[in-house]
Formats: sequence, C-alpha cells, structure tokens
Amino acid sequence: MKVTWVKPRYFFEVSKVLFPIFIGLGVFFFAVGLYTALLTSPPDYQQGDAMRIMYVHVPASWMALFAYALLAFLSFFVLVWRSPLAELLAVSIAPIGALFTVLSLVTGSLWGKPMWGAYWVWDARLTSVLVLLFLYSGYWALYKAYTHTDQGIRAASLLALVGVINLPIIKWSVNWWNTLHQPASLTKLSAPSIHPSMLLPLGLMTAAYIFYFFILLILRARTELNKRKLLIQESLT
Amino acid sequence: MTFDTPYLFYILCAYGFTIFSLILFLGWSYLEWKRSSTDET
Amino acid sequence: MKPKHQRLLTLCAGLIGLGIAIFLISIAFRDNLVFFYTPSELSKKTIHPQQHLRVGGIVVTNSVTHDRDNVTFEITDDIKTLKVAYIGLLPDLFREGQGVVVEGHLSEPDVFQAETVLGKHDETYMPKDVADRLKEKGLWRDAR
Repeated sequence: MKVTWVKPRYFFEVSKVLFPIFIGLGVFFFAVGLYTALLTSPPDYQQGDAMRIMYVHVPASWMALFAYALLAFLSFFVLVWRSPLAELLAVSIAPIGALFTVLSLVTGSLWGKPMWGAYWVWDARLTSVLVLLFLYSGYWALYKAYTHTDQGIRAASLLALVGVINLPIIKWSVNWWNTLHQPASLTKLSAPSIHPSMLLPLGLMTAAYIFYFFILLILRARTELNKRKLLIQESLT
Repeated sequence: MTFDTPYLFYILCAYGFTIFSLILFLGWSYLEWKRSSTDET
Repeated sequence: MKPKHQRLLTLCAGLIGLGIAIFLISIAFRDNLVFFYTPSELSKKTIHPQQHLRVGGIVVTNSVTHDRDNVTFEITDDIKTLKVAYIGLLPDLFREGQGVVVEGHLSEPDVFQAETVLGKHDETYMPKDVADRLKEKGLWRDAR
C-alpha cells in the first residue's frame, strides 16, 4: 500500500496550516461555551444548578471514548503496517485520552455527591470508565517498559486493541445492567431528552473540547517527531 | 446562574478542576515541545 | 504470504477469539454486574438475613413518613412494593415519584433496613418553567 498521505511529512504540512485556525476556534468555543454553560442557560427542574456540571462532564467522557477509539484504530495500523505516522499519533493521543478520562471521573464524582449522595459507587458505568483509565495507563506503561520504543509500541498497541472491548461496555452499561448512572440523553431514537436551551452549551463545550484535543494532538505529535529526530542524530554521531 | 445555589461549591470545583487541568496539560505539552525543538539546533 | 498479511491475519483471529471469550465471561457474570435489584427481582431471590444488598425503585407517593431522623418510605417497580426504614439525611434528589437506590439488608421479611440512600435521576434535562408548562398541559410523561 503506497499511499503518500500517510507519510508523516504530509501530516505535519497540513497540521501547520490548521494549527492556528484550531487555536482560534478553540478559544472562541471555550469562551462562548463557558459563558452559556455557567451564566445564560437555565437551571434544571430537578437538579437545579448542579446539572451545569454536565456541560464539562459529558464532553469529557465523550472525548475519552473518542480518543480511545482513535488510539485503537491507529494501533491496528501500527501492528499490521508498522506505520510511523500511526505510531507518532497513537503515542501522542494516549496522554490526552487519559486526561479526559480523569476529567470525566472527577467532574462525575463532584456531580454525584450533591445529586446521588455519594462521590463514588461501584456501578457498571463508573467501573468501566475507571477500567478505561487503567487501559490508558497500561498502554503508557507498556510503551515505556521497553528500552527499544518499537518493541514497546507493539506491546502497547496490542493492549489498546484488546481494550476496545471496554468501549461498548461503557456505552451500553447503563442499558444492560441496573446502574445508578442514568442512561444516555442524546442517542435515543425519539427526541433527545435535553431541552434545546441546555443542548446549546453542551454542543459549544463539546466543540471546544474537540478543538482542544486536536491542538494538543498536533503539538504532542510534533514534539514526538522532534524527539525521534534527535535520537537518530545522536545515534549517528 | 444564581450564586447562592447550594451546589456552588461542587460547580466551582468541577469547572475549576477542568480548566486548571486543561491549561496545565497544555502548558506542559508546550514546554515539552519547546525543549524538543530547541535541542535540535 | 507477505509478513504484513500474516500479521493482519493473526491479529484478526486473535481479536475475534478474545471477543468470543469476553462475551462468554460477561454472560457468566451477568448477575454479579447488577448494581441493584428491583423489588420484584428481590422477592424471587432467596436472601439470607443480614445479606448486604442494594434495591432500587420509585418512591411511592405519600408513603414517606418522618419521625425525627427516622424515615420510612416504600419503593416500587410497579409490580412489587418494598418498605424501607432509614436513619439519617436524605439526598437532595430524594422525592416522591423519583428513583432511589437503597443499600442495606432485610431486617424483616418485608422491611428493608437501609444504611445508605442514593438518589437516582433520569436522563431528562429541562428548565423548570418548561416542566411546569408541560405538566399544566397534561403532556407530562413520567420517566417510567
């Protein structure tokens, strides 16, 4: 498969153009998103102002899942085609995904305390998200455990692929088992059960998180590339 | 938002932690990039 | 066969095998993954006295009685109803007609002694005035 666009050089040329645009849009969506989430959107009829935590909690959870799906997809290319670009991106994604998972867990427990009456319960949803965090840390630990990164990345990629099984478990845990966590509001086939005035800040915050994700991805991938160039230079001298 | 909500503490913690972590992670990644690109020369 | 294709094949076979294994394990453990039982599930199970468990249901309207810190209420899943006794502060989301999960044990055959009461909310979010208007128009659909 000789496809030129999977070469790292093309990715970095395209990302150079997109980077400043992403920063601009990211700042814009964070500003508007936080403003509507905290100030202009109405409180919930049941939960009052506490449901404002949803606007930072739900996008963080979505991004944690999205990052993992992307990581697993790239790991497949690492294992089968030994693609250098996939390797660069996968290694850059893992810490970002872990960050979003931590954000999801922490904001979730800060929401759970006033609403459920507990910071943490061992229900299927919460436990499977905790497993996601362990998968991200396991990926990183395996990657770093080997002195040669091309050995480490293979072990880590295999773990990432095996861990994909956790994604459907997280997604449908609230439907398969009795959980304290409520089911999804947005993926129901009927009308979503979030009022439009609350959907707006959720959408804006999600957009902000997506741009944050790609800004960090480009930044970390560049760092990773620089580090590898340095290693090659060192080995030559 | 009414600022006398009984949930203010939890809301501020959640938003504060999120924004703090996002900025911290961005700053750390930026410094790493800075270090990796200056060493090059 | 190129090594690339061999890797692709081994990987796919391995993942499919793993998927089947995990599917079978999850079926085996299905019962243990349940966070709470409903009152009707509870009545079908053989429960040892003092066994620690969680039961979830909707708080029956007008069933809540307060006697200082002692609270008693009934929870239902529309099939069976269970009496719950609890000492302590109730969570903010505890309301008649709302879901709760109680943690504790059966003190008598039909009375549940709760140590913890967890409020459960559904996936509906809307402003208060919208909810009020829906109720006025009679368009209110209860979560259950």
